[in-house]
Amino acid sequence: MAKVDWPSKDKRTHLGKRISRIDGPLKTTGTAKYSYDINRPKMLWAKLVTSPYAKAEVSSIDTSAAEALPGVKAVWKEEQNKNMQYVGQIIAAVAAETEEIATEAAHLVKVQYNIQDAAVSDTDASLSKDKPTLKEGGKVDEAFADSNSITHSGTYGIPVISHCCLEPHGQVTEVKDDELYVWPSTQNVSRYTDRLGDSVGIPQNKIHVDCQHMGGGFGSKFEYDKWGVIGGLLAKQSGRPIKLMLDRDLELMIAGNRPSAYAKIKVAATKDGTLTALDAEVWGTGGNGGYNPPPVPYVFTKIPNTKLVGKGIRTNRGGQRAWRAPNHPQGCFLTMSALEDTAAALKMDALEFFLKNVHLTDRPDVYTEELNIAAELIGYKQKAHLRGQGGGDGPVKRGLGMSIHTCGGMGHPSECEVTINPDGSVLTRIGSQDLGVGTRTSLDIVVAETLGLPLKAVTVELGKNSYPQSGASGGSTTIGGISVSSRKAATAALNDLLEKVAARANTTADNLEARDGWIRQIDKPDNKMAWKEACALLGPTPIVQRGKSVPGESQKEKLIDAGVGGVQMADVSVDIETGIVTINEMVAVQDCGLIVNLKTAESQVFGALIMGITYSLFEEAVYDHKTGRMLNADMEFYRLAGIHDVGNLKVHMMTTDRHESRGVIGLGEPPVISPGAAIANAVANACGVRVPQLPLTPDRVIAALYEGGKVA
Amino acid sequence: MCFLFGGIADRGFDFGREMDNEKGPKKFSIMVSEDRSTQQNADKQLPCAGNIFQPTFRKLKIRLSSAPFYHSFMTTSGLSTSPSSKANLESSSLELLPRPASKPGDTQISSTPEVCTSTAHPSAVSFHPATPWSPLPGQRLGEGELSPRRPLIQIENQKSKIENDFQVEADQLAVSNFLLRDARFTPDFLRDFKIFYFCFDPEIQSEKRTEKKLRKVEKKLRFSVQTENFSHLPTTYVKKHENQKFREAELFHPQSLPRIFRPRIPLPPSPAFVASANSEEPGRSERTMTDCPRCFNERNVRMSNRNQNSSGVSRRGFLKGVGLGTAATGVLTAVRPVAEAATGDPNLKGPGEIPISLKINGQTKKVSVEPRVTLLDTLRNRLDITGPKKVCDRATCGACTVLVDGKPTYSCTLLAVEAEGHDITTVEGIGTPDKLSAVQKAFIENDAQQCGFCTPGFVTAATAFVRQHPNASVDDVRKGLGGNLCRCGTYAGMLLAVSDAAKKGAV
Repeated sequence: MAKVDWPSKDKRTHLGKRISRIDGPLKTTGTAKYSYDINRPKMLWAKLVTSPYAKAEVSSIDTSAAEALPGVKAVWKEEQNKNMQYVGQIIAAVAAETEEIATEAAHLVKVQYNIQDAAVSDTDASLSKDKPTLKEGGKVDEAFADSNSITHSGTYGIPVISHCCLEPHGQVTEVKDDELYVWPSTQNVSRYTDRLGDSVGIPQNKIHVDCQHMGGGFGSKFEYDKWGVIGGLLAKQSGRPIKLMLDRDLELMIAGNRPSAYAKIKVAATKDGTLTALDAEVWGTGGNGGYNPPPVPYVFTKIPNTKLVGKGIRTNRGGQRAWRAPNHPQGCFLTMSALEDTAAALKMDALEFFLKNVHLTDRPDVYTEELNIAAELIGYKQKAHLRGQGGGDGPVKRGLGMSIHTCGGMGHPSECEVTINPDGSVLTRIGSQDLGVGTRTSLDIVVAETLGLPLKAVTVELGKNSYPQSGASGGSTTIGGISVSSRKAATAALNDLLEKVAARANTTADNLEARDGWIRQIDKPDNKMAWKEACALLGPTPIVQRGKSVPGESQKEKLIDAGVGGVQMADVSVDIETGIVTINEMVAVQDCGLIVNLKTAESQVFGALIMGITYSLFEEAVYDHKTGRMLNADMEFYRLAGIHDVGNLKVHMMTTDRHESRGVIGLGEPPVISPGAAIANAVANACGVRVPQLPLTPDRVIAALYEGGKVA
Repeated sequence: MCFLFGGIADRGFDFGREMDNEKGPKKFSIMVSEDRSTQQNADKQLPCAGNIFQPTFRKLKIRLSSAPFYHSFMTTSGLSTSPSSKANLESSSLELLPRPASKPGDTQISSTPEVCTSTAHPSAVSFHPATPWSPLPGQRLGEGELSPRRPLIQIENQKSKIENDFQVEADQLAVSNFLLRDARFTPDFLRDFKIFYFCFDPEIQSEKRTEKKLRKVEKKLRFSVQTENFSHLPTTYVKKHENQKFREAELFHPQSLPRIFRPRIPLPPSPAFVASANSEEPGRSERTMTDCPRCFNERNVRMSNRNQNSSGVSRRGFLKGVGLGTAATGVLTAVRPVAEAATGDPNLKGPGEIPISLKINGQTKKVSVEPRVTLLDTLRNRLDITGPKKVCDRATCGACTVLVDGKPTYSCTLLAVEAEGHDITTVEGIGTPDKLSAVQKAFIENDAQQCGFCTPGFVTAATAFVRQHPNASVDDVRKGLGGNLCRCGTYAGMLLAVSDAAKKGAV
């Protein structure tokens, strides 16, 4: 019988190799349909009417002019919650024949507001009105008082940013024969409908979700959201399909953000560089909800004396949502900056300092191994220098910086169904989603590997809530979940087939294996049957088998695991006259257990590095202090890195046995955690002063240089 | 070589309101230095402006007048405050001269803005909306409380009912790439602020041509450009252009500039659309980007002046035709019957839907759209051609890229009625899953897509790039694909894919 475990390296056909995405042809030809692309017959366009004020009470909503506009077919307005808490909060919606008419109609809705004072700023800790959180261990005061140690203090900050998915949030909704059909842009196909049915009055068993391709979520697309409800209500009211997609400014303002974090950090270390204490006061905002301070110290959790005070500031801004590795990038940036500053204060080489303190982390040998590999890849020995000694007479200084990170990534609950047809064709069905990480391809790889078939022999279908349920794509849990459920389903199906073949082949099912398109006897490979021939034995009945991944159990079976390390180093140039930071090179060394598809795994890391460069150098949500409006709610000024902003990127995946034997671990989040810290540390190393706040825009660099007395 | 330097610009059309009380051309002088980050290769060819190049301006005098600003200025780096006074303009200064109220009812600013002077050289003066983002952690930036390092000039627009027009005279300005790209202004601000940027490639422009072009630019923009003192430039360059007093070019490098020249603003609904072949001087083009070989990602393809038979649109023209009165009052109706257009002008198109015929991927498609509908919306909403995507709708991200007569164009800022008569190619016309083009194959092989939403735009732009630059290196690709953005970060794969496809020569 085939076992469910992962095959060893020598036996693998597809697993762990570099395989091109199977939906690549669809995406590069524009054939792939995203929610935004769905055009249903007689579809109406919906546009939202939103609050232009950060804090206001709505006294009246007059939709008569909008309703009177020819072409407008349905109108919705907010009845219950008339308290506007942020600019962009939805107050009404209109649906019309064309997008232009809908936009016009939205302008015609007259709303009366009583404007109130809004809280917008998040940079000052004293603005916090919530009760501070406290987390401590050991005795920080004693540690700082110790005369044998040095103390470093600094203030650091990382601002609010948005997810800025290229495909905005939204969906196409259609009500037909009392059933609801939705094509949402979502990372949560199976559970998308959660309570949507209640809001639109259609039972959950009559809601059909279909999302084949989606243009980016990064943690913001788990729910159906208010606009999902509005779409459903407008569809019911008008009797026609409704397309409701957020405009770019709303997408940046109300569809989630990553909370900010500012911190005053004090670090104590012995004179030879061993960390003894870390005291942090962190404040920030995630909108008008509660605030969870990021973990500081990050990764160095075994520092003997720690104190973390968290002060959340509630602001009148759109609420936060999980942003790729929630709270990790902030925690990492704050911690690594403070630690590197400490190393600089001790006049100690940063790599030496990190290696010296790696025993204070949860996986010291992983980090040691990865730090050394990264150092080699970036040419650390040749390039490294102490802070500010980056030399040369010109205004361009060069430096290196590093950071380490960790992440969970245990596979989520997932169920998959594999069908082997009598004609030999194989179908895999799972209610999961492919965000662009290569889930489809990974499923193909696992099933084809299990059945000993080429990739083309397996058809993968996903993205519908009518398929076996699978978890949401969050927390780096998808690959673990789907690889196990598909492996189990395929194995069970294969075993059924082997039983049928065993009788014909005069041997037992235990003694058979599927390889290279054959079913053959393990100890006598000449006794074999071609795949098609074997399937013909099924008669008229296909084999249909399901497999489940259950987080704790599958971990015990060593199929999946949680907890990765990861190291990144950056080589930057800083022009101290203009303040411009250029990335020369970035190196990422990442472990993630057993890798299913090496090509897409590497792409994940490259992509995360680039996302990291973006939030380190360019990205920031700028809010006006007086009006609470986002000033750069467009893609021009909410800057993303362009192809020329990215230097040389090197990715090294840890694929040794020691890592592979852990099973599959998620990769989506870990590599995006460190770039901010690595680049900030490199900038400090290069120009000699710490630029304490991300993004490292030229004016901040120059201001820091000026304060450090080093302006040109 | 391409240089980028800043100056004043207008939108290429005026709404009939004078931005400046002064008569006569506005004067400013600009000086440019080369990219300091490549100082060690001073004579090396500099990359095209807009992406890697980061010039520093040693001496810059801008005089511009603007209508309401929405944001504030902030200066950084070695600047100190001093009261507003013209006398303080010595080595470098940024002075704000409040303009007296020109009409009754206009409010004067209540407090004199601060002047920032700097004796440091070169100072980086950047324009930012000061309030929300720049304070250092822990630093409060509240009412009246300013970091002495960062003097703040607050200018708010008339919407806030506070300020009115200002003139800004700055002697020193570091306008680096970041400023243009990282600027914290909204398109509104820039429209009013009147900045324009030049990029020029002396190697491909002869002096004569440059002179001629400059005259045209001058006339159009109504100010004169002077540049001086190039002693710090590489000698080869200086020798070549020693006597050249004027420098000029046109830039459109996507990543560098705010897209002020073709703002996608909500126009009054269903404006009358005037197709006037005679409104422009012959040979005068608005914004064409034919000259810089690197800036091939051309936007704002202005067909009207090249092809008299085409729809002959010009912004100036149709706004003149509309008359500002109707634009302002704008009774909002939609889907008005075409007959209502009625001024008797046979060239008038709209309001209401008009039938047009588009040539897309080799096929002719007939569709009825209002004149205000963009090519992108027509493709996606009317013709179900969903390859090009709608992301920013502001000619920034390139997800909507299509080829118009073979040139990559942002279809979100091209009106459907303008696209009539031209060959449009979308990603669907470049290849299909059964018959992939070389570029598409290279994308798949090098994993140059993740979520895939930006991919059609990139494939389209890359296809045109590879046709124009058959032996492109990775560095060329870096510059060339700057007109498209990706959030998932697929650039690494793309660099390999496109240089791969370029080498193989096929398209």
